[in-house]
Amino acid sequence: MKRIRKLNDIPQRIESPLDRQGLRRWTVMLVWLVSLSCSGYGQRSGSTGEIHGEITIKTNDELSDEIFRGRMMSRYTSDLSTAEKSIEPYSVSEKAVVYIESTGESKSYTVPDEHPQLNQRDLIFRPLVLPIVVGTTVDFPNNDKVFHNVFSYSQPKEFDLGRYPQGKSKSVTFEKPGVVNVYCEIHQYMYATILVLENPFYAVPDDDGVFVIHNVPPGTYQLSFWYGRKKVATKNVSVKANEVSAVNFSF
Amino acid sequence: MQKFLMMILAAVWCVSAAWSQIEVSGEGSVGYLKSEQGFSQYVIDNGNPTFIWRWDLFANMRISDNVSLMSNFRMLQDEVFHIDYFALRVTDIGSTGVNAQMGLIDLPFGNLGNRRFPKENPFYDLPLMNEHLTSLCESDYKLWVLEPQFAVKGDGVRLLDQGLYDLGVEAFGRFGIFDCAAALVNGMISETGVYAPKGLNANSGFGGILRAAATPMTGLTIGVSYATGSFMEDQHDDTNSAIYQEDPSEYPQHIVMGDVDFSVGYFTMYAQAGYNVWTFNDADDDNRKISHSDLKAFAYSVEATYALTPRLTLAARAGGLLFNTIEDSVPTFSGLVHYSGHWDRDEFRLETALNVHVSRELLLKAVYEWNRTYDVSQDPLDDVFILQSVVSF
Repeated sequence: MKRIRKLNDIPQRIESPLDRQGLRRWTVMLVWLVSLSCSGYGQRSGSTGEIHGEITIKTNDELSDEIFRGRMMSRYTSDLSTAEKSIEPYSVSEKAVVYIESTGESKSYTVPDEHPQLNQRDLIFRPLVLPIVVGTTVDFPNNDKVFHNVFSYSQPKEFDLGRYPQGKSKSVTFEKPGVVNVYCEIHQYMYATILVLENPFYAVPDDDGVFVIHNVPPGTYQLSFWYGRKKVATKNVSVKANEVSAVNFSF
Repeated sequence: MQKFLMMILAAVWCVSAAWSQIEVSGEGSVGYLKSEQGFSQYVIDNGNPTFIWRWDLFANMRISDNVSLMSNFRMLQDEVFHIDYFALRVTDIGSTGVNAQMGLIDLPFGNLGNRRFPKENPFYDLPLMNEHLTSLCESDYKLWVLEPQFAVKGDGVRLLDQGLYDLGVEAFGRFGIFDCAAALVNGMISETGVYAPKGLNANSGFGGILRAAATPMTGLTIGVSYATGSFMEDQHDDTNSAIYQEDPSEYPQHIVMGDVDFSVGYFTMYAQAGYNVWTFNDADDDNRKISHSDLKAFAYSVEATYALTPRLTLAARAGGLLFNTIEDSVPTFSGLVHYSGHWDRDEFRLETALNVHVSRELLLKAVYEWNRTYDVSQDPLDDVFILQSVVSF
């Protein structure tokens, strides 16, 4: 059932431009609006909508099984102690992303100042799927006692970070959108995906599978659901200003 | 029969893979090989250009949290099916950090590790010390070097027997920065039990192997390995009676080897150097004392790789074998001729390789091997060029 919720009413009242003070206020507001629309962020909630939804996982997560099995049975790289074997499985928030494929506009969005991280910890990558916006720089810290050698041959970004020890980190900036598969040259079972997205309209579900995508410009979009290694579903969604559109996925 | 067995095994493993506790993976490689047309053990297919292939299947079954059954199967273009590794492994026994494996195990000697397999090995062959066939006959107390027709060819035991697998038991573990291992196996490091009749122990003793390694910093591991045991099989004829008085346990092999792994950034380096003694003093070759000194060998190998770009890696390896001097008398048609010299030809091999990662799963290798044999009037023409593509799955 589609849930529609009214957002805040548009609050502003524009005074007559003939008024000197009103003219100044109008000019300030115009400049502010233009700057906001250029940045892509902070669009007034009054002119955008939200997408709410929930994902339900019914399928066995073969990718996580594969990675954890490889980790346990890696013959020459890790003979793990009982304590080392027990690590937390990937949570839903580490392996699922819901995102709008394209807004149809070719505009660049402000990237976050803080670099997202793809951790090498307990001989696996965490998270399994990392969504970022084009232009974002990702840090790859090594939190293990052993070397890792992170690399990718994916079309949007080829890189090889070489070997570096615990406590060190290297960074890569992703300038083209697409799917970047990330591996470790030393531990062949290690795998992660970086989703380099064209826009910031994506959400990582919480561990209950609930997600919210904020500040989506009105329009009709393809909403995709990425889980583990691949995109598993796509749905059309119409977003209206000041409204919430609900989309649920199950896999 | 072997093909049939292989197909059955492959089918069973593949079907079993549906069960999440089984991991099946492998490598397949095809290639082109051309060696020079000289007279040497390194010449392949008489120097004819030839295509080659190899298939490795790794099937590991997790029985419980601490118990696994692990196996490697291998087949080459000769279509002989090899089971290299088939071991029951128990990890962290009693939460002590001690692991054990039993069965057909990979021997804890040196630092070969995953470089046993084409995808991890930037070259075509294993290091020279794992490949070179010495003049020490593998089934008899005889030195081929004293037989003129085999003077260069060499058809005996290796110093290290290729991928180093044997039937036995091993205990190993990591304690802080130290890795330790001890193994007891049917054969010996240069003549593993896999060649023994019916796959059983070929003599009354076991081979013993010890290894200790330290990792003082990430990327640097320094190890030392020692092995000792009988390298020759019991000397029996078809009636199962001893034809010689020699007891193989009186002629043990001793070998000690140091190894270093170092890697940082885009650079990796593996080095090994070892000193070996095959006890051979007064061994009886057809009632003829063939040697009055032990047979000794010094071996070394240094290899390095550097990743030039994300897809391109350069590699080089230098390895050599040096043999000691013996004194003997060689029977010829004109009577006994005194022989004084190395009991095998000293060898040097330089390998260079260019590795191109077409994708994560597909590797292309171009390898050139320069082989140099010393103590001969003319170095045989036996350099080898290989193009190999390897896929992993």
